[in-house]
Amino acid sequence: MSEYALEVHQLCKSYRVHSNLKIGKGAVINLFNFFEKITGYGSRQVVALDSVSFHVKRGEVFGLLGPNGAGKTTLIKILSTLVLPDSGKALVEGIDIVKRPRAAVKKLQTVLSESIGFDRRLSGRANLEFFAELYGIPKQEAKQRIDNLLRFTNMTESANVMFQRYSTGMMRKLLLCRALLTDASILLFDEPTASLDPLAASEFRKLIRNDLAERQGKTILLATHNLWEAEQICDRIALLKKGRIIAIGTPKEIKSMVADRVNISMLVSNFSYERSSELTTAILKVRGINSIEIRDSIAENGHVRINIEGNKELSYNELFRQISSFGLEIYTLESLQPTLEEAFLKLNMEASR
Amino acid sequence: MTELPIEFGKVWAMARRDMSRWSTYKTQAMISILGGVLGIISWGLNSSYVNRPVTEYNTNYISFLIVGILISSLILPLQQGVQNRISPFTLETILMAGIRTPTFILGTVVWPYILSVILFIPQLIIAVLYFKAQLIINPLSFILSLIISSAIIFSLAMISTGFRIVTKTSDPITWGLNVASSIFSGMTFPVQYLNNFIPGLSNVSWILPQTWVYHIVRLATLTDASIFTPSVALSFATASAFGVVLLPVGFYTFKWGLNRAKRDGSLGHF
Repeated sequence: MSEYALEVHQLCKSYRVHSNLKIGKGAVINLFNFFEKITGYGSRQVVALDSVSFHVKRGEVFGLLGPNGAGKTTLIKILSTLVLPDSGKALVEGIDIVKRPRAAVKKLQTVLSESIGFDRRLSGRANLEFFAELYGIPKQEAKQRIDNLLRFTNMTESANVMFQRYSTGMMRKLLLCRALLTDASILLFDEPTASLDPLAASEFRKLIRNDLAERQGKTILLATHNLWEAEQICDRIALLKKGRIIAIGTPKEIKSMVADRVNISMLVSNFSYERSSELTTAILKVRGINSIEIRDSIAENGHVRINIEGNKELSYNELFRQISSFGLEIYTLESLQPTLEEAFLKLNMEASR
Repeated sequence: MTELPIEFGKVWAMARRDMSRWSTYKTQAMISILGGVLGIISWGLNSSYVNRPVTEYNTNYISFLIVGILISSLILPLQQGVQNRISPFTLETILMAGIRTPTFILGTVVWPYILSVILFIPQLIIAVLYFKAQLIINPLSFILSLIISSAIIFSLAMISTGFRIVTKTSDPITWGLNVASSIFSGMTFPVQYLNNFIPGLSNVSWILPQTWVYHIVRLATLTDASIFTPSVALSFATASAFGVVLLPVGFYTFKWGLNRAKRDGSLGHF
């Protein structure tokens, strides 16, 4: 048995983007589009995943974090066998998703944000019963499991209501019920709280972290662009940008990757605006100082805020000596730790260079 | 233990789901039943007006046309069934359940087929009792003709669906099949009639599998043709050959479409 629930090795995927003809709907144009779709002639390639590699341990909550278009959904769809990779390898509990897609897909359940797949004219319960049959769950067992899942997601009362009358939150819960029908040990979520109101989103996050991950020990791969959500739910995170992993680790590790930068914020008194540029020049000469910002427009009880960014070489003694030499008195002093958002933005910027 | 290529329980689950959905559209259900009955009445009235002998099947035009219409209403749902179910996200979700391709295809057409059989019964009664369609059915040939016809139409459905998964809303294959069928397959007139316009044009008809569908079902329902008669056996064998060739072609075209959409990442696009 493999140590890892999910293994992704050097996965690459690019898509053909077809031209968008705006000439009208003549038969010739339709035939051209048909020809283009079948042959690929006239289309261009866009890279969705570029040599992506990572492992997810059993029982781990792993986050794929990145902006729209980073390749998160593509990765989840590849693992769900809905998209074929161009190259590389992905294993679900040791099973190759390209060589044995049916066996691999039975090991996991996917909750895609845009893919509903429920029959809108049937009730929530009838939809779940239908999928239970597709999953080959015996009738009696399916009934019991559906009842439990509906209770678990607080959906029992609305179980017999037609699906098309459900709110977005209820639809999402029913998607979760469907994903949990088979009791698969691996769950993939694509933007699970997108379009949910704050209350429903918070409830859903608790359900994922507390119930599914901690109580039931499921392995969870979660794609999100919500940094706060990733920090709250995930044990480890991979930051994706334009199909590449730019950082991977626990939220703390990722923050420490940019922690070689020191951010100091202080409120000072006795500030002389005439000597502002002189002060700036003097502080920038201090070893390890990268930048200084004097926020003279925002006076706080007569104080002026100075924000300083330095690196590991920063000489605090020298810095404070310079500040004293200008006659400034430090009123408050904060050393700021980078948030995941700052880390994400900085790593993102570095990757763009 | 070897798994069956088709999981019948799942096929039946899909059929029951489709039936439940159909029953929730009460107006549409009523209209489809009424439409079938009115359709056969309309065609019956038309054919009564132009009634003439159809020597090719040793019958009259009413019987010839009504059988053609009945075949369409019985078999075409097979073709439409798969296409209609290739709707946004359905395919993705069903495939994520890890079911086999034949199960998916069969599961999508079972309910439309059952429905067409149900609608077929009143049409048949009206055709025989009111329009005096002369049906001289050979039961064995009839059953065999239905099986062969279903295989042919189902294969064509898989071919056009395979392309439609790639091309989405429409595809020239389905369009071409429909056009060729309406002109050459002989649903409303014997194909030999085409020779009156261009000598030898009816030869084109016999290249089309749909022509053989109409031909063998008409032989079985209008002429009491026994499959043990050499000429009838030859017709059935030719139609079967189309089925045998087209079934794998349809299956692989469908799989090609599916894999193509997976490579393009467009399975959920419509």
